[in-house]
Amino acid sequence: MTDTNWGQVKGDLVGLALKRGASIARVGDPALLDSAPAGMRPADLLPQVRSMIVVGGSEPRAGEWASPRSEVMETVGTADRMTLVGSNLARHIEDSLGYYAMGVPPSTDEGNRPFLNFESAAVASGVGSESLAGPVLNADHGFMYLGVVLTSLPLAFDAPIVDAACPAPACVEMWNESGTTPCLSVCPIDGGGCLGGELVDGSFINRRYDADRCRDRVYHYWVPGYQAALERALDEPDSGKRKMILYGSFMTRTMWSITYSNVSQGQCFECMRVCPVGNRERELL
Amino acid sequence: MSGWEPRAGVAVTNPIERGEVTGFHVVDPEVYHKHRAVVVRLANSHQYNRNEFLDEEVRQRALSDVEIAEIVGIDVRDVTEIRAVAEHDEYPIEEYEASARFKDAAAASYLEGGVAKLYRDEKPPTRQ
Repeated sequence: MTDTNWGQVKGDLVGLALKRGASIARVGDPALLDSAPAGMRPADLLPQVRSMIVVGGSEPRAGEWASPRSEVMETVGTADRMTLVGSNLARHIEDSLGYYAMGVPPSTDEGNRPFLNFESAAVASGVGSESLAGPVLNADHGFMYLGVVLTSLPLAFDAPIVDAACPAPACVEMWNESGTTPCLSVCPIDGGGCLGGELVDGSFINRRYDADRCRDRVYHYWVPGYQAALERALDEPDSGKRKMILYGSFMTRTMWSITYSNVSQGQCFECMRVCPVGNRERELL
Repeated sequence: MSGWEPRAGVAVTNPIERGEVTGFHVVDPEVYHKHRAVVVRLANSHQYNRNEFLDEEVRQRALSDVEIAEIVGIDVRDVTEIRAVAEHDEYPIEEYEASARFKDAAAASYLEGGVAKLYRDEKPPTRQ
């Protein structure tokens, strides 16, 4: 394929991703992730890899952000749509272009580790930048779900973002006035929450993050909640009380979620709900 | 694919090399309780200055299970299991009740404040 117009190929793939529902699609250099632990580097997953396509999107709708019922956000947040976009891209690359392509599995491997750090891939490709709250943020769209496709296509790389979306000017202003930010204020690590840190010279530093507490909130009615409730039930010697646990509302909702009977993955968005990055898309009539 | 060669310095690993051949390997509870604190500290559970944009002398990245095993001096499979169990064992089930109330309060506060007011004179209140 010596006469291949690679710029056209890249443009077509980005266009296909956007048409399939992604809000943004960019191409990153997989070598930028080579410092990841063994097994989590792009070439560990696809030895033929030359480039990685990162898609972002499926951000919650304005109406979902605005709902006073937090259970709405607990139920609608899912990476599945971006996973599907990645799967579609991979199939198109192999079927139409004849190059290897893999939609990176969004789940975990034998050691309960992610196959690839999607956030690092998003940063490397310029889909977004790291944030004080944790999720990669895109300046236009804010919080997004991510999908990653590794391919042997020799596509031109997009560069990482130079001007980080976090901290937003409004957050710097709030920090200068009161020594906190919206995300730190809503979920403070020293007040029963998950986040700590400070802003210095327009950037964040000394970030603290309680991943275990955040996991329990994000996967509230999901695997961790199920394990905790099941342990409590197994430890309960009274069969009557055991039944109340197993048939109760917590276990029931958890089972609905786990079985995708009502789709849910991400189940806590409170640090993102107050984040000003991308909030122009949330202000409707 | 003709012409393809692996990049220099990138070794393709398998679960054995990564110490992740856990199958149904169950860590001894005594080993778990003895090493849990240090494994949690060296893994990714309580992060401090983890971010990739930080200079190397400042950044404190999470260690891999293999690296932790070398420091602690136990089987890497036990490190993997200690980490996996501890990640879900840090907080009791009562934490889930607290999480539900936290979300209720945060969502209600957002509705009362709205985007426009959050960053001016009415900050989102701290919730416990």
